[in-house]
Amino acid sequence: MCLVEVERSPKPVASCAYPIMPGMKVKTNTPLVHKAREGVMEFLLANHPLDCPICDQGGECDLQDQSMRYGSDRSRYNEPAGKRAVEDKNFGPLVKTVMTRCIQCTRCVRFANEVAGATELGTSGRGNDMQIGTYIEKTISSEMSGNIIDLCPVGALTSKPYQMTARPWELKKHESIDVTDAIGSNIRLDSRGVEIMRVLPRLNDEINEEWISDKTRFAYDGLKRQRLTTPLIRSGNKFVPATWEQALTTIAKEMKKAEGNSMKAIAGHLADAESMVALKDLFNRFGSENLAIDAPNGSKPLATGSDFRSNYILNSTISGAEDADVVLVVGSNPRHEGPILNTRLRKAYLHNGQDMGLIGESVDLSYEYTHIGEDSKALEQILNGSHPFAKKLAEAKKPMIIVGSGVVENSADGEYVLSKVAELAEKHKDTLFQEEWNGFNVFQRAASRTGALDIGFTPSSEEAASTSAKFVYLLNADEITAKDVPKDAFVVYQGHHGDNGAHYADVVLPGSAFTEKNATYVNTEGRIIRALSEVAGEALPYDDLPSLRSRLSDVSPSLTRYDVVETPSLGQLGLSALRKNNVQSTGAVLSSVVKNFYQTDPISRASSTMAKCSKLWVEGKDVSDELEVAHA
Amino acid sequence: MSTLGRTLKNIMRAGPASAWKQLNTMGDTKFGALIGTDAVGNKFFENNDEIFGRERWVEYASSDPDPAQVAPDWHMWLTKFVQEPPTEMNIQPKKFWGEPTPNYTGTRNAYVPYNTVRPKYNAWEPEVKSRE
Amino acid sequence: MVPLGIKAARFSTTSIRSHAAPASDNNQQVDYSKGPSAIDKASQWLLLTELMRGMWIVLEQFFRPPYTIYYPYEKGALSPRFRGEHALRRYATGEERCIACKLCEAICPAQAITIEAEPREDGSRRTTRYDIDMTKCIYCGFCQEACPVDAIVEGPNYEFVTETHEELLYNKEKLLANGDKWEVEIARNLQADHPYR
Repeated sequence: MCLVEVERSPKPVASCAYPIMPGMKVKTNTPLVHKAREGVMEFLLANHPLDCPICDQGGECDLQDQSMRYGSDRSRYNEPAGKRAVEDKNFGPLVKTVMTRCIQCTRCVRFANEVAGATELGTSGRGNDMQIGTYIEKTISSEMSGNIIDLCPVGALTSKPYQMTARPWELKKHESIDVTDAIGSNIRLDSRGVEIMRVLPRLNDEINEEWISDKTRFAYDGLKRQRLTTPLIRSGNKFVPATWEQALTTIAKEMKKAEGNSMKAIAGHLADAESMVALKDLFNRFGSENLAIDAPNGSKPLATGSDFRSNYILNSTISGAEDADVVLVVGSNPRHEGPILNTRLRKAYLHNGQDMGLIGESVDLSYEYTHIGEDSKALEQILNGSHPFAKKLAEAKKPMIIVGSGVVENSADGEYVLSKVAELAEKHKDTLFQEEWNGFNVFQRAASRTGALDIGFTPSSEEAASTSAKFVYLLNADEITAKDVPKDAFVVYQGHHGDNGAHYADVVLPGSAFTEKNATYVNTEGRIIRALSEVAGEALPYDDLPSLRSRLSDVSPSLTRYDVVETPSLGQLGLSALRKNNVQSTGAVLSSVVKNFYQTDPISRASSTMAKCSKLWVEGKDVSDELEVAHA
Repeated sequence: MSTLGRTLKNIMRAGPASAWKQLNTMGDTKFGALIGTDAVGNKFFENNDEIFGRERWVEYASSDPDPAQVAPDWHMWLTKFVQEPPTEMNIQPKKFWGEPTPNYTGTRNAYVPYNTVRPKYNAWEPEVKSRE
Repeated sequence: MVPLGIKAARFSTTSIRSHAAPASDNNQQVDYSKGPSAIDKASQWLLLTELMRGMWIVLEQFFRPPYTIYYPYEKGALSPRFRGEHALRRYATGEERCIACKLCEAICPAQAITIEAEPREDGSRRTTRYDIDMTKCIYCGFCQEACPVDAIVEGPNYEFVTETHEELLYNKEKLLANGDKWEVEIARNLQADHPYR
């Protein structure tokens, strides 16, 4: 279809495969071009089934668009054998295949091999017998596999959870960002009525290019399940539905009983900045500094601290990760904590010859890397130069050190590792801190975390943190365990899903999920909290979103400067604050924090698609009989 | 009643009993060939010498006549969509064909719309777990 | 020789005349010298001749055979293309035809159609919701023209008046029941019209 006419060329030229020369005159809209394209169109349609009415691509199909322009209304194809028919392949619970519709453009194969690193996809056979497939019966176990659905110009590869449910023209498009990881991929939510029908990526070269991970794309059906719909008050061993008034007065009564730091607030992975700042203000008014984030280390002052912004953000930026020539990853599995960053690193590995060293659990990152060790001893090896990777790091022009959020939040060794990394950064400060380049990065994995740290949603002192809690406010905190909640405390859970957090609560307040509200996440509504503050007698000074936003920018100016990467100037200074001499290594293994990529937050845990994925790819069970009955 | 001559003529041809019934229901006297009777007992007549547009008519079996009482096969004959009556059509009924039903509005059998899809979201089934 | 009855029926005192005569020029002075005399006018007025003439026409019509169709005993003729009450059809096997392509929903100018779909248990593409708001519908027939499988049709039935509004909010099962009821006539209609499609 790319045929164009070139002056003084005897026949049409395939523009996609023809070198450009100076003085060349290309014509794209001449009778010759039209005739040539009509011919190609006829060939394409010769073997393409005419099932547009039942095809999910119908309405957004490239072939359909082209045939509207260049196609004929009659077919000259009268083969008695009929059109080509190809058996459908099983690509797992995410991608539905109707291989008869394939026009063999091989875009999916190119994507899988070049971007996703899933080399199992390829072509077999030639000409009419060419088939796309995985050679042997196998599903594509890439966390980026959903993108081949967008790439497919026809309806050969379509989304399985979305299959047959909606048409592109009846969907309302909402631009949004993703909260299933800290990348904040730009997405488009397509909704019909009250339902989110699908999630598609938006182009943003700074962040996700045009890809999104499978969790981002397919976890949306979790938004329909396990929702909290009405306030619940616990009585004995069960929850009783209540009115808002009842729930809020109950909370207010308990709040007035609790004093100072015995009130504890925990902000979870999906808490937005507005809610957090409102909650923080509310707690501060009650004299409590006992704010925590939802992680094992979250209740004490974090190893990175929240004073220096450069100590807890990805300073090199996601697109900057491509420019680094040597990358040292400490205690992180970028493939699972942020697949988008992983594709960047893979891109750099393929095209820029990037070297990568990993300290932590040895995992398949879809490209080659040096595995240095599993615990902080490996970091010492790098530091004293006894490991060959230390030389590479020393010679690097643009090195990059990525410390995983698991080191900070989950590992018992966090402070020690960070102080060693700070030492390492000191050693390579000439290359690590250059003009326009800050190679020290902390890679967060929760959408709310950077915002929480920006706001200062962390315990300000050991003293505040160690106060035993009488009143616990869980804001979307679903990573907590039974141990984190004191038995005699009064627990309020605010969130949108009945997940881990809600089980332990005394009062459950239903909130909105990210698809239903206007909120700020820092690459990442405080309405309920506002109502609560009034009932509790300490009115917060804002009533609506704009005034809350302005309070937000008072707390941390960078929070309301949307779409701008704020570069903290104190990179080195902040880092030196991390150097501590009195911490000891516990020798704990820096294990991957994301055990199950497909189920990391309440939304994806409630999603049946994600449940199927984790069953198939994480637990390795056969789900083919479940796939037969597509919707339970 | 229409013209005197026509009325008298049709009373003569149809007989006083059916003419009396016609005058009580239709309000006009008509005479024609009985083409058929449907399952409910409605009688269908035709007289091609009648005034244009009035050649075919039905005498309802019910004392409360309603046009929806005419079954679809006779409906198409009555509305002159087909020439031959359904008795001559050799209709092979399919298993799924429904019974001809009258218009049930205002009765207990009236159609009430209902939802045919599953709920759009499911609420959490509240469950308490003990803390440690 | 015309029979006496028909002669009587055709009896008329009025003659056919043109009613579309050009209006006279209003500016012209009326020339009374050429019109009827004042005595003529007074006698016509006093003897109610105009009223009598009008009544005579009524009497005339009374003896003429009426052209009125005596609904519901007689019905007007319908075309195979008549667009009445909607129905969803089935294949001869009893399988519903609708494949949830949503073209009818897209083309509906009154936005009366609402469709929701998902794969059925056997994996085929079927609707779970097919609602037509018959009070929104403008009976334009675009839906049946858009349908690639002749599933949604506008049947020959126009006698579906209801006493309440909600009875006209048809759902999928009502439409399928309509199709099952009217299939014999709908199939005949489509057959009659197929050379022109």
